[in-house]
Amino acid sequence: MTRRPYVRPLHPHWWLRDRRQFLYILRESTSVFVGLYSAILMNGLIRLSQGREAWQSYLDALSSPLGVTVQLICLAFAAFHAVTWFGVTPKAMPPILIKGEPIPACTIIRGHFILWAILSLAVLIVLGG
Amino acid sequence: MSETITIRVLRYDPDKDAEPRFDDFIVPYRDEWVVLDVLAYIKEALDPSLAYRGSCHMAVCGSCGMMVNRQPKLACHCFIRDYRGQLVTVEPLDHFPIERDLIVDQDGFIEKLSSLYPYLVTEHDKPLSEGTNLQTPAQLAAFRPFTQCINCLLCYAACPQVALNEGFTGPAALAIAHRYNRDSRDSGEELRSEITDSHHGVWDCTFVGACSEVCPKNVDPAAAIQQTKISASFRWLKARLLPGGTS
Amino acid sequence: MDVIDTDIAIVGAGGAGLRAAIEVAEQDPSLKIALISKVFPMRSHTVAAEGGAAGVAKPNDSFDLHFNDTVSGGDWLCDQDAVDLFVRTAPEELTRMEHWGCPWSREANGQVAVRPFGGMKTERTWYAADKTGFHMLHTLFQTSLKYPSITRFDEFYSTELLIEEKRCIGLVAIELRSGKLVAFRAKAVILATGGAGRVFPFTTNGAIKTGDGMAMAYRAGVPLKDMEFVQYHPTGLPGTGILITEGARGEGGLLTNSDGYRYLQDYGLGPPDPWPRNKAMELGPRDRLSQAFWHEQQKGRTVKTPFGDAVNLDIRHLGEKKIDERLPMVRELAISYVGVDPVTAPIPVRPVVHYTMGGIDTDIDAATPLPGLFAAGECACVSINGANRLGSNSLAEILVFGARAGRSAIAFAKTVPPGSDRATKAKAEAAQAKIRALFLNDGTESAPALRRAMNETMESGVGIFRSEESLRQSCAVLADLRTRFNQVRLEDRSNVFNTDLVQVLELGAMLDVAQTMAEAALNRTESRGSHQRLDYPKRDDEAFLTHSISSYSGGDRPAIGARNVVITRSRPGERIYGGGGS
Repeated sequence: MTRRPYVRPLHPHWWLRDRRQFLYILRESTSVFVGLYSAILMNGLIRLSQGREAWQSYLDALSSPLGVTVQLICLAFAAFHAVTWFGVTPKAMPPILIKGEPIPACTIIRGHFILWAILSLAVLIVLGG
Repeated sequence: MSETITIRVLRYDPDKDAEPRFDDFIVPYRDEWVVLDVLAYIKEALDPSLAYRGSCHMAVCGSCGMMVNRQPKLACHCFIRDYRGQLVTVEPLDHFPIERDLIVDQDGFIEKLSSLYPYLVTEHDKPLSEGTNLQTPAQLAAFRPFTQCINCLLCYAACPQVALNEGFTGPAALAIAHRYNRDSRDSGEELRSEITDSHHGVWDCTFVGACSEVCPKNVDPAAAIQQTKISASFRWLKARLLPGGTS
Repeated sequence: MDVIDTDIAIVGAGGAGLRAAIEVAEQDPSLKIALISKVFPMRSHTVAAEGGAAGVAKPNDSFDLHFNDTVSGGDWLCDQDAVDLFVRTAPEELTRMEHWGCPWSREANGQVAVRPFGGMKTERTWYAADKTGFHMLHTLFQTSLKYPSITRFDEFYSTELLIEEKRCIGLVAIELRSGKLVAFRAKAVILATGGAGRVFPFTTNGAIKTGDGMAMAYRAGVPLKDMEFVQYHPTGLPGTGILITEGARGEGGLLTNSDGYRYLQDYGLGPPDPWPRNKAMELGPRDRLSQAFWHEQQKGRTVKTPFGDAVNLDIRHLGEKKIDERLPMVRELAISYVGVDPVTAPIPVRPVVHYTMGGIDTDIDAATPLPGLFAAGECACVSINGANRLGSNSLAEILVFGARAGRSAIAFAKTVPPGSDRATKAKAEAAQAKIRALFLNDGTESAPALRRAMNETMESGVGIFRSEESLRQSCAVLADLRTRFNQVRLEDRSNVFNTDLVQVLELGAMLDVAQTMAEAALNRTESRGSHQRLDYPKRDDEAFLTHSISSYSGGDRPAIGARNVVITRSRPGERIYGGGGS
């Protein structure tokens, strides 16, 4: 007898068996909702080009309970997406050295959150004003 | 009887078993024991046929990578006190063919590593009479984290892309390539880019980040791969936009 | 049986084996090299060396100073021609490692940094943080991938040398993944199989360090030299025996007893201040420090831990930043394995078996008395380490003598034809029959029980301090164990990765090696370096300025002979450390 390496098949629910893999798949799946929201926005542009009535019905659809729910879900997934990506940004960039010491990962992540808050605030002010 | 702990170990003997099965062993609980000590106890006192790898017992030789309760761990660095009162399941590293019990076939990794010119590539051989190269502590710091890889392959077991794409070069090998690319003494990045920039190089990576989380030596292969993706993108652009670009 | 033809077979793919392989590949790319190891190269125990590698580097240093430190550190048992060659070659070998990419730690100006080390008069230890062996091993392994003439046979356990007309013509090994026996026919064989610390129960050595190569050579009639000299490293973690590098003391660490007192000043190593100071106190040689622990233990001044007596290694005063920069692994190991963060508390440590100064008898060219057989690294005894190795000489030694073994093997291989088919087959089949017998015979002796008995008797009889009584006792036990080993029971009869078989074969090797250690120690009725006899506390240069030569006689005990030490320019003197040493 001799060697007979056994290859274990990948578990069909491999991403459900491990928290880390589950979060990864969740992060990847957020793209579906980000895509969905982009489609909604594109539809808005089309409706706008079709005149005032079409645009109004689009706005009505958005503010209907279903519309609001869909947008909230998209917002939640987009926020999750942003948070997870902020978490990995320190890895995605070459280390920036200050006085020979790399900037700590948490500083980079915090910087992203601050920038996010500032931009969101700016958008709100512009739209609100 | 004093405290015990139950260890469930995946067993596979190609001479006898059509496929793997599990054996349970009840072993004494000792606060200072790591999983490797438990396996040694089992082999000595309960079942001499248990096969596993292990040597240094200090988390540097990289022999004893295995799955402990579904997480990739070094058996010599995984204390059973962290699993007190639980069933501890020990399996061979995920995503590798099982040779026997806890021993997996690592040849694939060695082949991938070998393909990456994992050594200092220089334009000229520096004569010994010229002494050593100069390298400042900052230049050393730029690649030093990526020199810490002990080839334990926990990252391969953690990476779903390794499981889904057989050809994927994988985290450790790419981190070692990055280690040389970032070394101020090296000029082999172009050479390595044949592999690193290819589909089965960095582009099979979807940035799961699990490799860096499980690395016992804080190598951060995920960072190495993302940084290589940036360099690879620049190389791609340069080849297309600049006159004299080759491909 | 498969016969693999090669020009040069190298057994062991740690630092010495890899260095030898690269040397052969560079010097003559036409030669076929088989690099055979029972583990993957990066698992070899070179990986665990921490502190550094010695080689003259500074303008205020010289070959003479390195020579003097090494010879006096070895208590004048070193062959001085070999030490001369070693100290002159070490710097270029370490430079070559730099050219191959070894990430040596650096000074601010970009020069390679050197640190002080025990028994060394000036700073000459090159280091890569506190993972020097790890970085050297991976640098060598990765560099070896460059050479197509090197074929690796990873996870092949070598069992026996093939001999034809008093020449080594190859070896036999088991391919672990299939269980098949393979013969390697080679014009020259280099053994680089490392030490045998595992004959002791409490050691820094990994599970793989079982003296296989030493035993293979010994059984083939090649003598083992100076086997009674076993180094205890003064700072291992209690319980596991994990090594805490001498670099910790090189950086300024202190050793204190249960009273918080720097006890080394009571053993000829003081005065304690100023500190740090080379060749004094905590930077004395390893034999003296380990012996001082034993005396403190007798006086009841050690610290009690759940895993036995210990003393404290204190590096708190270095501060977190320096500890993380220079000694990151020390911190990591102490936190993980004894639950102590050295930034805030002293690390409990005790002496632990670390290194076999003795080994396969080789000359300055790494050649053994058996034509065609060469040896380098810890498995060999050239001897540059004498009765006590200085820390950081061995990482340089594996390079210097690994490369030398490679060159000697080339020169030899060019002068001889390969071994004959007939002899290769016949000898290999004889080796196979021995293994098969293990599978077919129902032995009665349990291998783990024999191993425990061997470990116990080595610790109790052949430890830091020895006496005629303890040694006689151990010699008798070991002779009995070797007889019982003939009836050893192989429990696992399968083929693929039969690690039970490997452990049984390793035990056989260890018993042979242990016996040479005990018998040579019994024969040496003096105290020198790491060999300390309670009944003969003085060094005796009249009778024992000689190497012990243990030869396999076919009987149940080795014959112990002697050979004069090579003295070229340093007459034996007193070893002076502490205040008188600088």
